[in-house]
Amino acid sequence: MEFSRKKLPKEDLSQLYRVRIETIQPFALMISPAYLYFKANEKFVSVKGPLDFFTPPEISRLKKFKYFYFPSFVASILPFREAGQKVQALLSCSDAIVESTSENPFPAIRLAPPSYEVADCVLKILGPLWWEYPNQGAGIEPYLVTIFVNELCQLLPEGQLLLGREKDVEKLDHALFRSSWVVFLALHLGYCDLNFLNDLRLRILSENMNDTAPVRYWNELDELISLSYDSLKNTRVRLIHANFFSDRSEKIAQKLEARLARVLSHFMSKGSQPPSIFGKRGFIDV
Amino acid sequence: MYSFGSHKLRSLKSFGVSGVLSEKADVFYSTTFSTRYIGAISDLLSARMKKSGLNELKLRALLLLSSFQGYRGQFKKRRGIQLFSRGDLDLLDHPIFLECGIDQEKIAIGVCFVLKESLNLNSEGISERILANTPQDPFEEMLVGLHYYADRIILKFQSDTRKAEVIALMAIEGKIASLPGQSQEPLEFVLLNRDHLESTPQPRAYYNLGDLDYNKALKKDHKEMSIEISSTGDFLMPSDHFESEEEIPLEVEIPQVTTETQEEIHLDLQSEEVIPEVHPVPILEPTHFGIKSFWNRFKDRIRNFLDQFFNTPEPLMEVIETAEVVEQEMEDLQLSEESIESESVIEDSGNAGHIINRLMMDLRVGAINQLLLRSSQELKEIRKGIRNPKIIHWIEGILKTVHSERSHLHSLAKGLERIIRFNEKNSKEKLLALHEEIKHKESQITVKTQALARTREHLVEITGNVERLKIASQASALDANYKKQFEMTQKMLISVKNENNQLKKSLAEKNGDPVVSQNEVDEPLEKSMSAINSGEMRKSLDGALKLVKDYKKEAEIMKARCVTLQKREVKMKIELTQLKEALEKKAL
Repeated sequence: MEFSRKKLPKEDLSQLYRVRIETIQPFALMISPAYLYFKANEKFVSVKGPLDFFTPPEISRLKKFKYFYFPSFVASILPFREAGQKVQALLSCSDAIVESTSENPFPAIRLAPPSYEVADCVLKILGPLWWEYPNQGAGIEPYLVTIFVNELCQLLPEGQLLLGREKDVEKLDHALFRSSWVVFLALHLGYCDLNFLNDLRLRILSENMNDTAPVRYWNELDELISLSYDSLKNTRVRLIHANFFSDRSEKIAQKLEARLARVLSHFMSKGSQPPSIFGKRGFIDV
Repeated sequence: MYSFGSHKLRSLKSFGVSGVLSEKADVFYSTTFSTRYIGAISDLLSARMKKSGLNELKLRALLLLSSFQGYRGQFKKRRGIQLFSRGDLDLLDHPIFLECGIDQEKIAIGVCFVLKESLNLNSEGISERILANTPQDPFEEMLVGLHYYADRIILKFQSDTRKAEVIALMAIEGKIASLPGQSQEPLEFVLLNRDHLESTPQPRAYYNLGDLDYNKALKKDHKEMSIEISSTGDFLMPSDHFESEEEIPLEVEIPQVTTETQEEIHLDLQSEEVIPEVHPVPILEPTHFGIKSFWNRFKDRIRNFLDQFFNTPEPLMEVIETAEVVEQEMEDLQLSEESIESESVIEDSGNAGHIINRLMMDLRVGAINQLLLRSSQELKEIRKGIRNPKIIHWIEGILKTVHSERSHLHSLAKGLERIIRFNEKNSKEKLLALHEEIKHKESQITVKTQALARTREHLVEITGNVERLKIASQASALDANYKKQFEMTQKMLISVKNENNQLKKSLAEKNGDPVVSQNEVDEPLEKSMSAINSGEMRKSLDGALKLVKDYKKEAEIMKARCVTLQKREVKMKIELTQLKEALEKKAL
C-alpha cells in the first residue's frame, strides 16, 4: 500500500514505537509502515509499507537490527487490533465439560454463552470502532477495518499473499479491504463463528484477487456480500459511512441499519481526533 | 390468495417471515450454526413474547422443530481437507437463519436454509402427505411435527439455488380462531425461481436477539433478593448500660464542669479492666456571651423561618436545613470542646480503639450534643415568641430524632467498641499463649541442646576409650609378633651358635686357638630369655637381633678363616707331598 514519508529523521526516535523483530511472524500484515534505523545514514528508512509482509528469509536477514520502528500513528489503531483479539477470544469460547471421576464426581461444567449473548458482546466491542468524523458523520475507514479483521482471523496463506504481491499490489489491497469489510459486517449481523469467518474472508479475497466468479451461498450471505461491494467499490474510498445502509430495500441493509442504530446511539466513539490514515496523524499525506 | 387472520399475507414469493406478517410486525432474528442454543433462544423469545398471550408450548415446539428442520436440511458431513479445521464437526459450514416475527394477531417462525443435494424434495403431493401424516422421508416427518403444532405451515423452495424456507404460523390466542391439535389446513408449498422472486417486505423493525435486554427478560419474574426485618422483632446486641430513649427535657440543667467529671470521661480501651459505668457527662456551661452571640446571629433567621412557615407547604426540610446551618455555625464558633476531652484520648486516628473513643466523645460532648442542648435551650427562648404549637412540635420532633440518632450512633459505637475490645482481648490472649508456647519450646530446646552436649562429651569419651583399646589391642598384637620374632631369632641364634662353635672348634683344632666358651654365647641368651616381658620385649629383641648380627658376622669371619685355613692346609699338603717326594728323591 502506498504511503508518504519513506524516511524519517533521527530526531523522531522519541515518537516511534519499537517492536522486536523476532516477534514479527512471517506473512503477518504490517499495520503501518515499518522502519529500520541505519546508523550510516542516521535515518529511519522504511522497509515495508502498510499491509505488506515479511518473508522468513527477510526476517532472518534483518534480525541483526533487533528492532523495527513504527510511527506514532499506531497508537490510534492499536484499539482496532485489541478489538480483534477480544472478538477472537470471545468467539473461541467453547463448552468445558469434564467427565466425572471417582475423585471428582461432580465436576464444574461451563457452557459457552448462547449465540445471542455472543452477538451482543461482539457488537459492544465493535461499536467503539465506529467514529464520528467531523463534517462527515459516523463512519469507519476501510484500512482500520482491515487491521481489525487481520487480528481476528488467522494468517492468510503465504501462496496467496506472495502471488498477490507479485501480480498487483493494489488489487491485493483492494481484496484485503473487501474481504475484511464483509467479515466486519457479518459480525454485525451475528455471524459469530470464527471458522466460518476465516473461510468467508479467504473466499472473498481469492475471488477478488483472481477475478473469479463468486461462489454463491444462496442465502442472505449473497446479499451481504453484494451490499459490502456496493459500499466499498474501490481502494479510493476513504470512509464508509454508517448511513449507507439506511433507507435501502435489501433485508440485510434493514438489519444492518437496526444494529448500527444501536451502535451509533450507545457505543460509537466520539472525539476531536478520530483515527485516520490520512493527514499528519496518518501515513498518507493529503 | 393465501390468508391467515384478518390481514392478507403481503408476499409469499419472497423469503423471510415479514412477508406473512403485517407492516407493523417486529421480526426477531438469529443466525446459528448448530442447534445447540435453541433452548436459550426459545427461552428468550418466550420471555419476550409472554405479554402477547401466546401458547408457550407451541412456540417452543415450533422453534425447536424449525431449527432442527433447517439444521438437518442443510447439514452435510465434511469430506476432504478443510482449510480452517473445525473443532466441532457438528457445526454447519454456513449458518441457517431463524426468524420469529409477531404482529397484532399472529406469530411467524421461519427458518431459512439451503437444502443439501442429498435430500430430494418431492414437491408433488407433499401437502396431502403432510396432512395425512404419511411422510416419505425424515424431512417430511419434521414437517408433520411442525404441522401438528402450527396453525399454518408454509414451505418455500427455490429449485435453482436449493434455498428453502419453512414458516410456521401460530395465532395469538383470542385474535384468530385457532384449531386445537392438528391444523386442518394443508401445508402451503411455494415453488420459487430467480425470475419471480420478490424483495422481502419491510417489517416495522428487525431485532437481533443480542440487542434485546436478555438479562432483564430472562429474570423478569424473579424478585430481587432482599432480607427484611423479621416480624418477631429486630434483636440488637446486648448492652452494658441502659439506652435512654426518653424525650429530651425542654428545660435542661447545665451542670458546671469539674475536674472530677473530666476523669470520669476517661476511657481506657487498652487496659483489660472492666469499663466503669458511664456517668452523665457534663459539658462546659456556655458563657453568657455565647448565648447572646448565638441568639443575635440566628434570631433573624428563625424569624424568617417562622414567616415562611405560614406560606410554604413543607417547612420541615427548612427546619432541618436550619439545624444543619446552626450546627455548622457552632463548629465555626469553635466552642471549647478541648477542655472537656480527656488527656488520654490520643489523636492518632490509626488506632481503631482511639477512633471509637473519639467518636463516642464526639457523640457525648461534641457538636451534636452541644447542638441538642443549645437547641433545647434556645427553643425554650423561642417558644415564648412562637404562637403556633405545630412549629414547636416539629422542632421538638427534629430534636428528638437527632437525639435518638445520636443514641443509636452511641449504641453502635459501644457495640463496635465492645467488639474491638473483645478482639483485642482475644488477640492478647493468643499472643500470651504464643509467648508461653515459645518459652516452653525454648526451654525444651535448651534441655535438648544440653542433652546433646552431654551425649557429645560421652561420645568423645567413648571414642577415646575405643582408641585406647584399639591401641592396646594393636600393642598386644605387636607383642605377639614380637614374641614370634623373638622365638625365631632365638632359634636362629642357637643354630648360629652351634655353627659358630663347630667352626671355632675346627679352627681351634687347626690353630690351637682357645675355644670360645659356651657361656659367652649363652649369657646374652639367658639375659634375653629372663628379660621376656611386655615392657622390655622389644629392647631384648633388639639386643638379640644385634647379637645375632654380630654372631653372623663372626660366623662369616670364621667361615672365611676356615676357607683360608683350608686353602692353606691344601697348600701345606701339597708342599708336604712335594717335600716328601723331594726327600725320597734325595734319598734315592
